[in-house]
Amino acid sequence: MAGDTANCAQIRERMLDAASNSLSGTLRASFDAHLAGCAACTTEFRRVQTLLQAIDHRVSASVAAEPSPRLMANVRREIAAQPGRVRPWWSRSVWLTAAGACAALALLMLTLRFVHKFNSPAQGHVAVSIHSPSPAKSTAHPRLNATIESAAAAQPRKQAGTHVHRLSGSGVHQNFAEPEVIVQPGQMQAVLQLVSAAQKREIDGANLLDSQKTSEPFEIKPLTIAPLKISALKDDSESLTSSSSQDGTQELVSQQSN
Amino acid sequence: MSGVWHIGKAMDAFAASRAESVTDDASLEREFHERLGECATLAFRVALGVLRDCAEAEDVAQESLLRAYRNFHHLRDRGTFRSWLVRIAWRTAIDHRRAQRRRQRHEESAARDGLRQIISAAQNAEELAASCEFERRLNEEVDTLPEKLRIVMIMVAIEGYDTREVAGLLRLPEATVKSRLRLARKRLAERLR
Repeated sequence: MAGDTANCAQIRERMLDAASNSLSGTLRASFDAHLAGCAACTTEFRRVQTLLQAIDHRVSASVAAEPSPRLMANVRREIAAQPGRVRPWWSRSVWLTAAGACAALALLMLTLRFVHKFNSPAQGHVAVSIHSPSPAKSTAHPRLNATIESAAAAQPRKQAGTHVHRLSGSGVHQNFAEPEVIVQPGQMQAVLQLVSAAQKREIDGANLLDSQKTSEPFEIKPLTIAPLKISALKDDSESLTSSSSQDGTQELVSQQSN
Repeated sequence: MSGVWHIGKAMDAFAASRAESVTDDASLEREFHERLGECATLAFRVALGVLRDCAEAEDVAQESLLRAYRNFHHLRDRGTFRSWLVRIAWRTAIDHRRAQRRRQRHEESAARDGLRQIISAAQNAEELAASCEFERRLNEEVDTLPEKLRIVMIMVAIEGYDTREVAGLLRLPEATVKSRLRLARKRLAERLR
């Protein structure tokens, strides 16, 4: 009887699964075989089945009601009281749409301008040649020491509406070849800053050349220098060209654009 | 001329977009109202499964439908409207129930022996289910179920939905719905037994 009691306890543990039809084949077979010979378990199993059916019945009944017509009427009335709330965000406001369109247009224009600026063909490369001094002429170190002469000194070369700036060597360094600097419009300020730095001895050409460890002439070309804005110059409406004079000096000819 | 032409085209496009958005508004409104008729009962029954009170369920269903209306334009896949509405109604009802419980003092449950006698005395499931005491105890136990089991239990109980449809509404695998349903029934039966 002890074995039967233990068997009944196991069977009763499986009753919920059996009532839910979730027992596997062999377990279900042994379960049914036990119920066939045990009246108490059969009664208990019927009770469990009734309980589960009652649960399903009760839960189903709890949600079987129909909403009253008042529900739909209330919902429709509330919706009518808040018109346009279902609209997408982009169409909620004329002003919002207009502002968005303006912002998009401005962004497009900025983008086009940016692309045009950087895709426009260059107005000519700037070639900068730096020649080291000949050792036969002097052992002195080259030194960039330039001055700017007035445009009046180059009057014969000056055409109508042009200004001439002359860069020339000075002092003991006259016998050295001077750097040829060809600038294009917008780069005059950079050249002036270079000259100014050389005059203040902030730039030492000797150190620059020593660092190259060679006595052979070398060239750095083409060297593209981003053009500076002409508006930064003294005369905003000028464009500059350059030419070299025969005496080795560098003349910067600014030609006024008409 | 080109600039004028472009501005004219832009204005035409702007006017067209305005007209299109108005059309979108109208179509959204129409689409929502079409779905409203067929889904209002579903929202009501989901709320009723949680609250078990028709008047409160109607209030919650109304609130859920209005929430759905206000956020209908956020719903990308309109085919999921029913499951979306079920989730809205469920959350709204749960929130309502919690607020309600904070207001009410929870009653002590009746002695379990009393229910056992009722179950033993019942001739059939219908008679047992009709018992007020059984209903009260069952409701208490349903409320203590984990949410994922409870929503499956209630959704399957709603007339017309089988486990496959409930799986679609809850976006769950059907096997998961079945196992959760089995587990929910088992837990309820164990507690009421």
